[in-house]
Amino acid sequence: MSEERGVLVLGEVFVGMLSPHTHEMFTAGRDLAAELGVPFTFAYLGSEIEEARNQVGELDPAIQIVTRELEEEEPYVWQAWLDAADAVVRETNPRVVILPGTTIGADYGPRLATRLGYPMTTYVTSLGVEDGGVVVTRNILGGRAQTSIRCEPETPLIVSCEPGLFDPSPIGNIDAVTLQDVFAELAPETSGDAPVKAGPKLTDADRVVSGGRGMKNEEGIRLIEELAEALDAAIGSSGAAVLQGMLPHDLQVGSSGVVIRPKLYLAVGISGTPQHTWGMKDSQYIVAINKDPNAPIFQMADFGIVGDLFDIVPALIAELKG
Amino acid sequence: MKIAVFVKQVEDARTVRIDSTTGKASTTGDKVMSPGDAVAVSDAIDLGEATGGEVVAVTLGPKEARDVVVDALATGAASGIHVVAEDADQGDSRVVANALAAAVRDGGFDVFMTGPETGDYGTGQVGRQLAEALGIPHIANVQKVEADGATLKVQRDLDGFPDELEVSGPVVLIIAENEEGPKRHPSLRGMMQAKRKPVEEVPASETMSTPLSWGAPTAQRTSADQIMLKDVPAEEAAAQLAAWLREHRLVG
Ligand SMILES: Cc1cc2nc3c(=O)[nH]c(=O)nc-3n(C[C@H](O)[C@H](O)[C@H](O)COP(=O)(O)OP(=O)(O)OC[C@H]3O[C@@H](n4cnc5c(N)ncnc54)[C@H](O)[C@@H]3O)c2cc1C
Ligand SMILES: Nc1ncnc2c1ncn2[C@@H]1O[C@H](COP(=O)(O)O)[C@@H](O)[C@H]1O
Repeated sequence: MSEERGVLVLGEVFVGMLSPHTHEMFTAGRDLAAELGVPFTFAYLGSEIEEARNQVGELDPAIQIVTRELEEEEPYVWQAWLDAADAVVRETNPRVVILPGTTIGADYGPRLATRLGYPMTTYVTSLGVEDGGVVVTRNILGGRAQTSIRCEPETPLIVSCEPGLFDPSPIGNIDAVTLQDVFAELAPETSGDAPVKAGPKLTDADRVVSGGRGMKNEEGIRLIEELAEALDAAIGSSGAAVLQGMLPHDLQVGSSGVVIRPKLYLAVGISGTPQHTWGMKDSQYIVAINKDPNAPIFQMADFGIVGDLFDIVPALIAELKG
Repeated sequence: MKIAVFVKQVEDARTVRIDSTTGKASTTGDKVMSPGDAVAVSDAIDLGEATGGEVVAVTLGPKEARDVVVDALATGAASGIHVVAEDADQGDSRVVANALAAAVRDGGFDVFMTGPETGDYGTGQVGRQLAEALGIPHIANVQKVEADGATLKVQRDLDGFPDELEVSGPVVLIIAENEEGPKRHPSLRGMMQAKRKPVEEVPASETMSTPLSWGAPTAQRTSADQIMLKDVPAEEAAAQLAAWLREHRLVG
């Protein structure tokens, strides 16, 4: 085995299932290892690990694989994950550790960093190499800005990535479970009384009106539909609105929905999380209506109105029709 | 119970401005207590009152960071500890957590409470790292804490799965942010009383330098001539938006 310190991905297994985010970490880790020219180790931890073995097919023999069975306790505690991750890191001695940006990774990761004495950065949106050092980007100031962080080449680093922003890779010959699949599965049937009216198709529309959790109820959904009709626009949705059954999953804009760049993107009652803005930030013009003046979506809007959508949208429909 | 609550002074994220030619982001420099920490302070004072204990507010930061300790005192904390350190903002959380741990390790505390992550460069790490440095457990995503004798009943919510845990003895509780914000706020009377409450200043146990270097903040996207309407009546705002949409040929 080479002495060179490589990249270690700490994959995550829930009762025998590789988590979808693990496929994203695999992409991030494999690509970073290639860029650094160092070995890549893929580890996965969790319960019922034997089941998960079936989901990892033939891998490039250069990739080292490590697994750890966890005796998970109920209720959840960080201890089991921390101890297993600690053991794997000590055994493989990596230069960069990528651990899950999920609730579990966010919980044990920082303790691991302190235990090992490594620096750590969270919520990473991209990874790269400059002058031999690892450089990551992440969002700051509540999603209103971003910055890069560089780690000196001789120092080990722990990172966790923002879920949903890296392409999922198949691991071995097994297809990745994508977040699109997960969202589609989780999304409840949208209520039959409010079928989404036929209009331009979301993926090739010039104008898109998207509704988020701020729509709250049937009344809000109806307002979004009427506004879209008045503008001859397609209807889009945030992930949260999909999960609440307000709009169907095929209208979801974002990292686990569609990526679009219409001339006009009008976001109503959407806060502007990185997973959502991933799908619309390259629109030509962005308009946002939100009652929270601090909503990050305003940061990227060309035209923003701070106010209650239940007041603004009816007035706007009247203006457009009048 | 003796409770330590950790508060950080942050740039007010609401004042972020983006330079549309350079794409660089900056704030006005206004400083506030990180919004999540205000909730932790409020909950800590509730717990202190319920158990007849005292609350100590702890911060690490430059001279002016003392202001957030004073805010906590004005809300009802009994005393403060100010770990004086410059340039801790854009470093590595682990170092901050180590220095905070050193300042409270021998203080005889039963409970340590933090916010989930700060509103500026929030990493969501310091609470967990403080627990690791102190060698004690932590519970995150905490919605509610109640004392039952020496036992704490802690309600948390993990990705929509709520449960309740019982713990006793030193523990770090990472309080979830809530939409309503803190129940308790600094009061005028509290401000007067805060002047007489002690704030101990201690030097940081270690230097804040780390192998990480942070770049300048940039915007995700900038608009050269952004229009923002606030406190404008709905009809007028709608009329202005409709006119703007027409001007840019964005109507069907
Ligand atoms: C792995 C992963 C993948 C994901 N993929 C996607 C994705 O592809 N697309 C996506 O969108 N999300 C995705 N998400 C979810 C994402 O993280 C956010 O939860 C979601 O984008 C939030 O949707 P929202 O803005 O509608 O809701 P919220 O963040 O709750 O925002 C609602 C907004 O409505 C405003 N509001 C409320 N009432 C009113 C009113 N009366 N008038 C005006 N404004 C009002 C509020 O101020 C708030 O800003 C993903 C999450 C994960 C973990
Ligand atoms: N400099 C600091 N001084 C006191 N408490 C801090 C400091 N930095 C972080 N904390 C606490 O740790 C929590 C998480 O911060 P962070 O990990 O930086 O996002 C905050 O909400 C605070 O309660």
